[in-house]
Amino acid sequence: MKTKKRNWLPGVAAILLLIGIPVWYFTGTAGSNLDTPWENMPRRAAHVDHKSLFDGLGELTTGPEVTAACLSCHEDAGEQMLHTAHWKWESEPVEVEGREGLFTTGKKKSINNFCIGIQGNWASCTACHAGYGWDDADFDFEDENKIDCLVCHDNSGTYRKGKAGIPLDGVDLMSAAKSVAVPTRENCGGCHFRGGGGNAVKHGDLDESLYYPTEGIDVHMGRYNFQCVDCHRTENHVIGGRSTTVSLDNENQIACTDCHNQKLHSDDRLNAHTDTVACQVCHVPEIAVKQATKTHWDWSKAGDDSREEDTHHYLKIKGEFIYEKGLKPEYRWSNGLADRYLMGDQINTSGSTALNAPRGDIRDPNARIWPFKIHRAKQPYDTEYNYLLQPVTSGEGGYWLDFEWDKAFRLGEEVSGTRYSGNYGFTDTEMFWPSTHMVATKDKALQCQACHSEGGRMDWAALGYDGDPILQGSVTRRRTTSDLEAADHE
Amino acid sequence: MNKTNKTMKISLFGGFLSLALSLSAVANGLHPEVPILDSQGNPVVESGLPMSTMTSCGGDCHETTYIMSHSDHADAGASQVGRVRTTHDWMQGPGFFGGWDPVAYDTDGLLPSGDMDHEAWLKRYGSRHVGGGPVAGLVEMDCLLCHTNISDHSARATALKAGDFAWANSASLSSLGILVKEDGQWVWDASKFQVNGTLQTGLLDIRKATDENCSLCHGIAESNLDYPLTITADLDSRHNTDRNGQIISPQKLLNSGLNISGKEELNYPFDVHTDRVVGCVNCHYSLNNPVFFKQREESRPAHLDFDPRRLSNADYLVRPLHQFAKGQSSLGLAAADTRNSMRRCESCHSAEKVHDWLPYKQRHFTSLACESCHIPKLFGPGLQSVDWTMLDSDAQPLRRYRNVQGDPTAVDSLIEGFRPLILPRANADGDFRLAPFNLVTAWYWTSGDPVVPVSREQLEKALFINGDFHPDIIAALDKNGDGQLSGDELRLNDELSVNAVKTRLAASGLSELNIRGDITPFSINHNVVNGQRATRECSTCHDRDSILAAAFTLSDYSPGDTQPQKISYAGVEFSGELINGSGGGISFIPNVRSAGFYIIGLSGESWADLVGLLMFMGVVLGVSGHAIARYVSSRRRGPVERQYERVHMYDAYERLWHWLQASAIMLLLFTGLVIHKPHFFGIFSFPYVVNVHNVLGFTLLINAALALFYNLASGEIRQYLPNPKGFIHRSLAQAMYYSQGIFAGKAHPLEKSKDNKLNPLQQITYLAILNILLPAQIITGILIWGLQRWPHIAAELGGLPILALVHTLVAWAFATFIVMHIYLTTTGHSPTAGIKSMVGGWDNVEKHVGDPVSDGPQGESK
Repeated sequence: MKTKKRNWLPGVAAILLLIGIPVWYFTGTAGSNLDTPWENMPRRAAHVDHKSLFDGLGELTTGPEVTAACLSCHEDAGEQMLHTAHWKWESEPVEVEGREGLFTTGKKKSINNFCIGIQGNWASCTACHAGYGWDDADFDFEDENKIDCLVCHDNSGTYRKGKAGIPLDGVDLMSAAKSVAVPTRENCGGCHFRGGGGNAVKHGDLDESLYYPTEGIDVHMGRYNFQCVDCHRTENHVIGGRSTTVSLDNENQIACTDCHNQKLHSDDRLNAHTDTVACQVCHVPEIAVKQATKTHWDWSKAGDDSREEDTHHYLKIKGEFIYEKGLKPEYRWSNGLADRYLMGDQINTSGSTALNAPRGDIRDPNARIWPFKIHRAKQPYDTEYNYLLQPVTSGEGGYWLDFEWDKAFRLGEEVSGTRYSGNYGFTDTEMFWPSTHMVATKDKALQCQACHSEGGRMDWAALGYDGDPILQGSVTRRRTTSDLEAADHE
Repeated sequence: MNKTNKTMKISLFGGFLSLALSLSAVANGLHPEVPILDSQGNPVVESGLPMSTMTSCGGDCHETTYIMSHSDHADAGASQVGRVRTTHDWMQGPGFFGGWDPVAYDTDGLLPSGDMDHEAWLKRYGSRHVGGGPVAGLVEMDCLLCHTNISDHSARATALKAGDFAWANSASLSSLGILVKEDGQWVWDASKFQVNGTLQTGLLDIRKATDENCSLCHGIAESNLDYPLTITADLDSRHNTDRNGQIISPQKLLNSGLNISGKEELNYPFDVHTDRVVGCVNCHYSLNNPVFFKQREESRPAHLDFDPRRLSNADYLVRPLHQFAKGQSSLGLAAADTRNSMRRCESCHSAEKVHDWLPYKQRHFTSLACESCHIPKLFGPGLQSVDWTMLDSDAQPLRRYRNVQGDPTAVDSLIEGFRPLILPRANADGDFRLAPFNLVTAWYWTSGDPVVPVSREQLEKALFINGDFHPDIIAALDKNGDGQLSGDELRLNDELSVNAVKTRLAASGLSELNIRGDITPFSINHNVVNGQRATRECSTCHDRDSILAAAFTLSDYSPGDTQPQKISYAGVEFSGELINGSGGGISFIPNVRSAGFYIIGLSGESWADLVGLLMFMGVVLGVSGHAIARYVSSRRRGPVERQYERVHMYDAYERLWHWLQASAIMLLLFTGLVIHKPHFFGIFSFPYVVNVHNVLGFTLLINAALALFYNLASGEIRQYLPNPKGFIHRSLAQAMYYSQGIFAGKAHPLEKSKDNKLNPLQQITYLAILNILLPAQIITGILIWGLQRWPHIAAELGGLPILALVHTLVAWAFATFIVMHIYLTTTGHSPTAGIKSMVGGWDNVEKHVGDPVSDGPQGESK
């Protein structure tokens, strides 16, 4: 008989298995909904200090000179930028449901119910253009050197742009150039917080309080110091994210679920909501948390010398406004697309015209209930052709200088190519701005009673429900979402 | 002072009212406009008489006489008067009418003759009674209280207090301006009425009771998320919250207006059901409501899960029972007929499905009420003690709130929240389960024969003169000499103060004065928290510091050194004892063991551990001594020559089952120790260790069973059975060897061979182990594990107290055995030979040449 060394090994192994396997099997715990958002964060490029990289590139005294210096190393960047919306202020041609052919839209030519349109007003509006010198219709969109790199990449905090996007006098372009890095909230916010003519006017969920927010204003930016590009993932200068306020398609969109698990709540009842209710509904309970946002703009009241001027109530050039703070959003179905009003479209003569009515309804499996800031305005339209007019306001001879509407529309006709009959009026419009920033900390998320109670936030009938779904159930939506589940399993 | 509170309350309510009114336009609107009639049937706007709810709401639509006679709220325990034994002799009934509550105290209405003074009772308690029932002759049952959106009924309370019973119910309408007071007279405002005597449309919303209606009497129920909740100064409307600390609100604690310690962490609502839009009437429904009606289990035939037959809505609306589904709290209305008519947690929730993380969940469900774990802490101001032996300068008793520093209505009083006391409470099926309670201790004077409590008026008369304290009282109680009585000075905790008050009371003509203390348990059923926040930590109960044995403060002092008595209500086991702390405080130490609850990790018999430890340590010392002696003697003696033969002693299977057994037993002993004394092993997860112990127990059982089978089938079992011939002789020889021979280097008496492995002493030991100890351990183990499945078998054998005791003792025996066993393996030809042979199978056996003692079954004697 062999007395092999270590013939006890199989025995030990057997014992370990006989003890270990039953213990492991019977004491396993149920899996939980794992949410691993940090694993899904985009990786930022490592920062390269540009302090000494501009030696030998000459004195940089103008914007385009800086750009040329940038492009001398970053050869592809120019080409990349030329195709982006930040440069072109226009989308690629896309198909739009309900219309024939392909359409482009963008700030370049579209209309909104704030300052209405940029055409003819380029010099003041393009202070926010990622380029230099766009002050008329003949701007060269193929000239790489006109790209403004610094507006997004400057980290010195000293870079400011003026009319037509030209850097202001006194800005030290060299030190701005040397400071370049990944864009921060200051870069993006410099333009996006001030849309509509001033701080906090437009979006409601984007304003200067987000430069250095507390976690009570926005948990991502406040507690975790998220920069815009952490959610708005960018590759080759193509920045992720779309808003139906200006876009016609839903490509390259970003979502909470880019990082977060959709069914991450430990409470099943909450998870049951995510097929119908967008995350933002509960997690952005209010917008304009710290700084009031504009909710009404009545252009028809403009031009009155006798009224006292006040940025938050009345300005002669703009008309009358209402600002609100701590604003509760309004709720509509949205599947990510909208019926965007394009110049020349007929207005709604029997009520308010929605410039970007969200698409989707209770039967649409892709639609969710979304929170919106609805901006209501009274803006000029052509009473004969029944479409909205785009006046020249800040441009030469415009309304803000001469206070003559008729002249403003004629000048507008010249630049936009949309006929003006000579007769104008003012009509009600509304724009839907999705609320997705100013995400509250989870203890501030809405409770059941916020919607499911008398006086709750949801207008059930308007949303297509028979009544509060807690009491009435919702056969329609249940059927739609179970189709969704079935689709998931296919 | 009361006036300002009222004004504040009115203005607050006015605000809420306008909110409610604006909402009411959206609400129900289904109820038809009905004329407001007086008791003669004429519209009040014509007759100018008070509104009669019985007539207005009655007639063709709702049978009001039926409703009133089937209403627990109206009856208020009146039907129980004189028929049920009460806790105190001066009480006439157990309920609100005819009863006496040591916390609210007033004896108004209780007459010594045994009758009730209805008017006196109404004046004091009417604002918290719906009218009708025993006082139907004075105040009708008031539908407006529960079925309208009127939130301000202060005018009704005022009218009742003043004795204006006729107009009391109508007075509520004054908050809507429908009734106005002109020159001290109530006058109907005709502009609020339509021609036919109905009210203007939209003025009054008539609908089913909402949480707001219930909260008028039943405690704080602020359902608005936007207005931070605060505590009202009006004691009457805090009645329930005072007694059990419950605040029924969907507001998150951190959003409330209460000054709660550590509030920022408390990101959950006061009551999770209210948060989930469950209203009071969803659980406390009218018993014949066709929506909720469910046949009682006892009367449901076995084959029928659900009886769809229903009362029609029309029939229900005409004759709705106003007896509501309720649990079995014996306090308050004393509605005995409808006790336990309410479906409990398990009617809606399936605890089975979501407690997978909980070991022995069935056992927990049969021993604990859901509330024990799901109401872990209360943040409302609940009373700890009420001292009616003395009044403060506002003629209020000394109220002490549990874990609240100062007056709870003051915005800067810090609220710590309290953990309720867990006591056994009877369920509908008669079983006792541990459930949460708050104990309120009330001290009061009694006098006379038959004994009655000294009334509030008598106290005030005795203690005050011209609005100030009587000089005798001040003299005796004013400790710091400032001429005022405040704070602790008001406590009657010394002879001097007790006598001072006693003298004053006697001076008012009262005799036989004594101080009594009542400890009343108040059941806690609301303020449930979400499962994630419920008690999940096993050591909360299964530990030396278990909350089931922790002291529950009753009072910081006891007036007149009186020992309070426990007022036990039917269905509450008040098991435990009172202990007096240093400094005069009294606490209650619960003893759930005496109520039949054995808690693993807490209830162990300490003597068993002592015996076991002694046994264990004894053996450890013994073998240590033996080993040292052997070593010393062998050094002295020098090596001994012996001949050895190499034998394959143990088969593979034998070794496998031996080591599996050994590993399992060692791990079982270790995990068992962690379970037995969780306090010392806090580093381990108690539930995980319990699960591991159970798994290993079964592994052991299967292993032992298979080994038994093997031994029987192969005949190896013969080795374990001693040969009776010369057994005692051989045993003694073996014993002699171990006590003497081994030191002298003598040969081992047994010639060990494959067919004869066990010496006589071993045979005895294994006989005991394998036939007594191991079976005992396995059986007690299985029964402890199977407490959930076969509770009756376990109960037959004495339940956990016996099973756990035996299991513990045998565990110590096994631990002791292992020490002995391992040591004895070193008595082979070398210290490690024994172990090596059990691992590898080969053994070097001594060859006995000419040794007359080797006489085993197959031994050769040469």
